[in-house]
Amino acid sequence: MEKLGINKKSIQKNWYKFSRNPLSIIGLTVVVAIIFITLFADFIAPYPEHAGWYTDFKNAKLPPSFNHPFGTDTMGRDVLSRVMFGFRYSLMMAFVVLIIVVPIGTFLGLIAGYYNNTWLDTMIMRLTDIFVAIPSLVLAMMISALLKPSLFNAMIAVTLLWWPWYSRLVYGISSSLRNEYFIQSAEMIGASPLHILFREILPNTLAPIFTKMTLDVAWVILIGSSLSFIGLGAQPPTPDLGTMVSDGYKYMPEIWWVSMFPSLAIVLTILGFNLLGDGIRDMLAAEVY
Amino acid sequence: MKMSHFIAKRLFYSVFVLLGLSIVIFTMSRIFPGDPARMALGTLAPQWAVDKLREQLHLNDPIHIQYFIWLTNALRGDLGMSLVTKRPVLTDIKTFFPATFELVIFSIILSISISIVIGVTAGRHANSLFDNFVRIASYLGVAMPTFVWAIIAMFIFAYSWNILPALGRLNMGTIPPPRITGMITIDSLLTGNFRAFFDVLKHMIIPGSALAIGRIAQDTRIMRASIVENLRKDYIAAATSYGIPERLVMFKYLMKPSLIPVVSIMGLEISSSMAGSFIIEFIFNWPGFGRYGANAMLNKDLNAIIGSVMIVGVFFALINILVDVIIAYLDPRIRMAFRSE
Amino acid sequence: MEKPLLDIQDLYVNYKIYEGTLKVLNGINLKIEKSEKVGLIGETGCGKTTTMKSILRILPQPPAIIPRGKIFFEGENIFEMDSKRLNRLRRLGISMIFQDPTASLNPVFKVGEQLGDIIKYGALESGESLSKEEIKKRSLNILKEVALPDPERLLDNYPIQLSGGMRQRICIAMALISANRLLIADEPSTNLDVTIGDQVLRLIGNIVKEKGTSVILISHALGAVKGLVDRVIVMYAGNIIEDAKKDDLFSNPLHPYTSGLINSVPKLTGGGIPTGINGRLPNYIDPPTGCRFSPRCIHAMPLCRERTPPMIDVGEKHKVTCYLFGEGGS
Repeated sequence: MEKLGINKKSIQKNWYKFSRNPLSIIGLTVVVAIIFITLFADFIAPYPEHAGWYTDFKNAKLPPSFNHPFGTDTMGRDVLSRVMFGFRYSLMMAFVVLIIVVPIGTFLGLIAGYYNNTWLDTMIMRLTDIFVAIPSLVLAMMISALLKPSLFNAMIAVTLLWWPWYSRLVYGISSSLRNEYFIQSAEMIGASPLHILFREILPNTLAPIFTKMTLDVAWVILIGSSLSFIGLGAQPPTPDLGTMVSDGYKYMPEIWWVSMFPSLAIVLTILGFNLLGDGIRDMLAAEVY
Repeated sequence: MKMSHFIAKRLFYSVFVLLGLSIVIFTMSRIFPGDPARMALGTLAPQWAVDKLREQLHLNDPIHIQYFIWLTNALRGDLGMSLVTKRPVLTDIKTFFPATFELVIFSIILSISISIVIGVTAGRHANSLFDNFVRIASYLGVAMPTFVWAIIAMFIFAYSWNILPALGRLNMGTIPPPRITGMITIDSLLTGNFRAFFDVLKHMIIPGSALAIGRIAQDTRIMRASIVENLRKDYIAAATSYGIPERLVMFKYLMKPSLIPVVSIMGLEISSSMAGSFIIEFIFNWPGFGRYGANAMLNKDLNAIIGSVMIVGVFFALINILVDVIIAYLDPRIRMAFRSE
Repeated sequence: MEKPLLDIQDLYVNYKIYEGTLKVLNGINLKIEKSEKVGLIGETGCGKTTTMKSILRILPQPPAIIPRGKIFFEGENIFEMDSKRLNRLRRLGISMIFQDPTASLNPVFKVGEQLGDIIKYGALESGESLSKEEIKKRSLNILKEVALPDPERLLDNYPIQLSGGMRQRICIAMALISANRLLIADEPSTNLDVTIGDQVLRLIGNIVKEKGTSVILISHALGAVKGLVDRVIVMYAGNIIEDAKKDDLFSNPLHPYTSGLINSVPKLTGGGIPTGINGRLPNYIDPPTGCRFSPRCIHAMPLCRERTPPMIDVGEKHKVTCYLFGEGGS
């Protein structure tokens, strides 16, 4: 840890920079709460069995009450429990997408930038150009539509279209650093390309990547829930937040709770990660004063 | 290089990107599992019908042949038949596109005007109560997916207060104007059919603002940040120190450089609105290109899917070029960079 | 006795930033007469620009706060002027040439446009309403005055198309239109090549001589001001610590900081490399009590750390802010 410069003083300093904006603290709290719910949904949800195939038409369409703080939906399932499990699917999607996309995208961006102005650069960057030529939502919808719509396939769709953004981010940094003196010195003393890529250039990209990752969780959730809403993502009875909103919106405004609470959950999650991401950006930003 | 060279170069490049895009999309559509012919005809259809359709759609040919056939047809304007509407895809698109166009234009006018006014006011009075309110509101606005806002808007306006209509483009009883441009707003004005004009406007308000909300939040942030940053600049202090009156400094010398980031985001705006229209039109049953595309995707209508996505790609490319030209026109520093290349 | 042209009395300026309040100006007292040429020297960050910006009231407030102080121009309190009087002051009375000519020209407007507006509103003060041709004519004239070649074409150019020296001359032209009494030049030659910078200084000198304008020439380099001014003021950490006629200052610097400064300049005639002054500018959030130079001063006495010394008059228009030269007021 010492080698990365992480010691007590730097943690204090970074926390100070992070916590200057109260909104960042709010974001952190929200995110921690959501992660907690995601991990322990099985234990803290009042009716965990409702998060799946379950019908109880006697208790269907009940408004919010003490027993069911978020009411019940058209099948009689407790909305609160389903929302808790819903967080799980949202975060899971973001996690899976990012875990695949970030390493691959970063790696491609690194080599494209280091070997810039060669065929490798051209090939990789033109490929990214193709993927950013259409709005992400449309591309995600298309890929999902071509596969059989399901949560898994929605994840594949988003993964396929997300990696170019990381490549472009890293490419920008990598290609501009490529001609800096410290890289040229390393080359002159015989450092291998692997060393240069991973020990010299990569550390300079970590801060923007980390910030982008946090903000991207919000984006992936936004796109993922839009996909499920339209029917191109998770299918019923999976308690995905987007699917839940779409289940309920035909019954608006009478049975408003079926759509409203999942909607609020989505907004809260996106907001939390946005605020957290901004806070991380502040924390990692170079000192101005 | 001159502007015309720039435009030509970009157009040329866009063609290549779009070509690459078409290859990627086409490949995906053919290699992904699932039989499009079967999906189109349904599970109850006999196998011989499915096989016949496969022949018709060339689905059994090698993939590069299929792509070649598709490409040559597309360049002649034939994007295939829609399996849902049983009409040529291009005809469908031409029919539905104007509705989306007027909706998107409406939402962009809305978002630009609101975000400029609010952003400038918030930026000039940074850290005031109004500014803090604006910043928090824009955080919220960015965090709301389009469909959430659509539902909330539907809920509040259409049902609770019964002011604005929720679905569709015109009321049942209203006679639409003859189709000149396809945009009811323009057509009704051209033919003097004011009843239709106001009716369609009323119907546009909720979907249009739902489409605009995310953009307003984002644009306001950018406008505000731009104003705050430029207010600190020396050239503003200098202009004041030479005695130029405050309103001129604010609305001329501050505005022009501050608008540039907003314009540069405009391309993203419009493409984002096009993407959002898929969802908004779906929810509000607005008979536009977005609803057509969304339905195509839900019904696995291959030709329509590919056609719609390619159209989006073409538009996006054109708009990006247009935005770059506008920025070059506004910002002499970028114009000079062209000249020196 | 005639009222001084500019009279800064007891000026304090704070900057509120997130970490705390920067107490930048710590009681500035300064008088400038008509047709006086003054040099203002000090390290980067000692408050020179802040003082000048306060005069023109272009300090961004917030985050700047002026808790105390008055600035009188020809007898009128600048801080109490309404916007009409203030505009008049800016258009006819005082003007400033900013440090960085690139930053002080609006990049998205043509030179002619910016110049034209300044001329138009300046003329408005004299009751004249100028036509476009008139404005253009005057623009060309002023560009010629600052020895800029091909002024016709210049009016149509954007700042990005011009060299640093040309931009600086345009800034001088702009300041000239609106400065009849007092011209403040903030490090006019710092961002330029030595030869161009020299020309610019010469230009300022000539103009000032012709029009009889007072000038405050700011620099962090001693040599730059030597040729142009009659009187030199030295600032340190928000205080004026010495104020004397130019020759007096250079031959007989009194304040320990000033003498350290003058002795830090390497001499071509040998004598080895000078030692400089130990230490750094103080932290403005938590400045030292008393004299702000005391932590670095080799002659520091206990009294220095208690109260800020007053400005002491040692005769011959030579003032020092240091307890070494007395304890009473001036």
